Amino acid sequence: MKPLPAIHTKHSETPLVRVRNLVRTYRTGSRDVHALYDLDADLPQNGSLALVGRSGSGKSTLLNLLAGLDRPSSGTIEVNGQNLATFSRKELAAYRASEIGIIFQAFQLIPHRTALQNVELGLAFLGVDRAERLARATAMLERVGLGDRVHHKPDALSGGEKQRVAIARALVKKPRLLLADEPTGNLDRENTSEIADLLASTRESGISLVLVTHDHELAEATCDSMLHLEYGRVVQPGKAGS
Amino acid sequence: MSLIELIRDALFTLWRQKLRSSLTVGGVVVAIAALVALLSFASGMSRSVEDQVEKFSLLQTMSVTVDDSDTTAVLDSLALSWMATLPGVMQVFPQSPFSVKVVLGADTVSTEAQAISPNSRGSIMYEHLQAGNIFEIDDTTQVLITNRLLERFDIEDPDSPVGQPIILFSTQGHPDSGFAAIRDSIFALSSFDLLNLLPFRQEENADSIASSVLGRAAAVFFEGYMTRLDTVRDTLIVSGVVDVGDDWADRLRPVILPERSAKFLDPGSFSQNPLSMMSAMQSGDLFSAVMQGSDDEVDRVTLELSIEANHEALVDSLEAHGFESSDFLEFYGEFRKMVLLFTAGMSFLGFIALFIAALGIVNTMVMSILERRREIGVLKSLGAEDKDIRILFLVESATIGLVGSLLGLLVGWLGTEVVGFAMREYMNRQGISDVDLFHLGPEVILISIGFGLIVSMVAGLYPANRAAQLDPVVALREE
Ligand SMILES: Nc1ncnc2c1ncn2[C@@H]1O[C@H](COP(=O)(O)OP(=O)(O)O)[C@@H](O)[C@H]1O
Ligand SMILES: [Mg+2]
Repeated sequence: MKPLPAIHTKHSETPLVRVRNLVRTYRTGSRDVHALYDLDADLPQNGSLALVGRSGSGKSTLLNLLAGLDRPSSGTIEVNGQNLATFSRKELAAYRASEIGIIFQAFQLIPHRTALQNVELGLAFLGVDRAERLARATAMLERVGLGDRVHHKPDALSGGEKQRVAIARALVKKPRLLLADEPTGNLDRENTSEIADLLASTRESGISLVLVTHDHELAEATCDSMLHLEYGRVVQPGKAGS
Repeated sequence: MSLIELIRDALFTLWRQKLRSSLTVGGVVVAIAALVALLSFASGMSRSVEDQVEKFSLLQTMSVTVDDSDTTAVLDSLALSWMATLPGVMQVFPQSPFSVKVVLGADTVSTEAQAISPNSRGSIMYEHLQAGNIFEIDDTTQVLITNRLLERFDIEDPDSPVGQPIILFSTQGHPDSGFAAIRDSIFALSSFDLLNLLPFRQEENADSIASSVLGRAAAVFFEGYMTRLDTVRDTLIVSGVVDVGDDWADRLRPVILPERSAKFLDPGSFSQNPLSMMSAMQSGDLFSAVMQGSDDEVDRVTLELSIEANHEALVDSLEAHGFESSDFLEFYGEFRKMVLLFTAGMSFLGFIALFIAALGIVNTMVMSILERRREIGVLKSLGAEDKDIRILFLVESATIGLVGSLLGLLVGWLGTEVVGFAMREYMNRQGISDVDLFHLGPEVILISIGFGLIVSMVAGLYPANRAAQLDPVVALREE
């Protein structure tokens, strides 16, 4: 695996994420749909950003671009000064493997694998040997409060537990940036607050966060800043809660 | 992930889809079992023929008959003496070697016998007489044996058998036995069946009676050929023992007979020697009665050639004198080509089966990938490269191939063992010397497992590439 360029420390002037004139256009039939249009955004080192907006406003599209799962139609996405748009497929994969943790509304656990095996997968593409993967995955499951659910399959877990497994899987590699796409969308109040606590403690351990949510309370509880999207554009950048 | 982990995961995935996997693996098992059976049959065939060739040292052998179009040529003692002088000819035998059972004292041994002609006397092999004398050439009561035969009988003193009686048996399928069988069946029919049937004979069943009579006659005739082997027996006196040393060990049969005794024991029509069979077929006298020419004449001679003999030059000078020769080297080349073609043809059938199994693998893999699109998306979101996904599914299809090949090898081996055992039993009961029909050598194992693996991986290439190119964003959005 080609080593990634060294990422600057958080004391550097460079923001963690710097998005400029970002356009992502989908072609459906003969029409172009601008999921994102001329979007600028910044995330400082060790910062956190909430993405809010109506369904279809482009939040997931932006998150996928930040995750290196998708490529912009034009514009730049710099992460620590490196433009993701110029990365090869291989480099993008390496970037996802080492720098990014992702969690989804639908949990996206692999059904035939146990909680431990799911979390262990978070290290599978980093060249970590099996024994270390198992040790770190077990420790991570304990940290999210699932030490007694290690060998359960997703079917045997509640919604909140599933999302905690997913968070453990995203965090086990110690990513620089955690991307969460409506992580509480499928959860009730009580589970939502558990996830909120987890995300907050993640922040304390120095992991930056971009959170997509409809839940303003959650956004305020976990994020420093907020970006309101509408039709793929920024409507009102500002402080969370303002 | 390490290869071992990938294989373990692949096995686990196959285990989760037991029905689908067992059908797909079953296809590979059938194909590989067929391939194993076909290849080991081809290999067994060529091995048993090679054994025969070695046993009769056929490559250094040439069979000579009279060219039918040449009315002046005769295979008499003069012609045989002339042949003995040709360059490269070491011995002239008036007959091909043939199988005999030998009874000496209380023991019986199966071995081969060989006739010698007058010109062979005084040749180097007889300089090594261990005991006794060489028989007179027109003597029909005596026989020479070699030290090899004594070894078979565990006799240490070469003088002890000299002057003792020795009994020779030879078993020959003979046209007469077939005709006799027909004659018997016709007698039986005329004296019993036909008389009894006559009063009830109706127009409509006349045909069926006739056909049943003919069918039975044909069946009995073939049975006569196949099973009614005539046993010929002769008691002779051991005149001497020859030490064959190393040079002649493979050339000189353990029992050496005067020409006429040999003719009595082996009329030559159904000898087990493939060379005499082959040359008889070529000259068209496989089924003809033994030629009753003058005592001095033989219908076929066998030349033992030196390793350096120039076969072509020999054939030319024999032809110039009105003799036809059939050279086993030539026939053997043809035979090897045939075996190769046969093996190729057989393997082709196996490969067709394997191709169909491969289609099954493609189908299974495409299905498996369709069901696991989200999983592929998750793996990519966790940092899997295209290469990782491709390897994941290639290992899965290779695992199907490996499991199928190993089971197929087992099934094929068991199948050939069972059939081979049954055939050996059958051949033993028919009095035919048994042959191993199948030979499962390491090359067959390597070829079948290798092809099983390669074919299944090739079958996995297309699905694996499709999986590798899957867009994770699309895959993750699917419900
Ligand atoms: N693969 C796609 N093909 C076509 N249009 C798409 C595709 N993905 C997203 N879109 C469109 O882009 C817009 C933004 O989508 P998305 O980012 O998923 O919105 P959000 O996450 O804010 O609900 C929507 O109008 C959606 O229909
Ligand atoms: Mg969305």
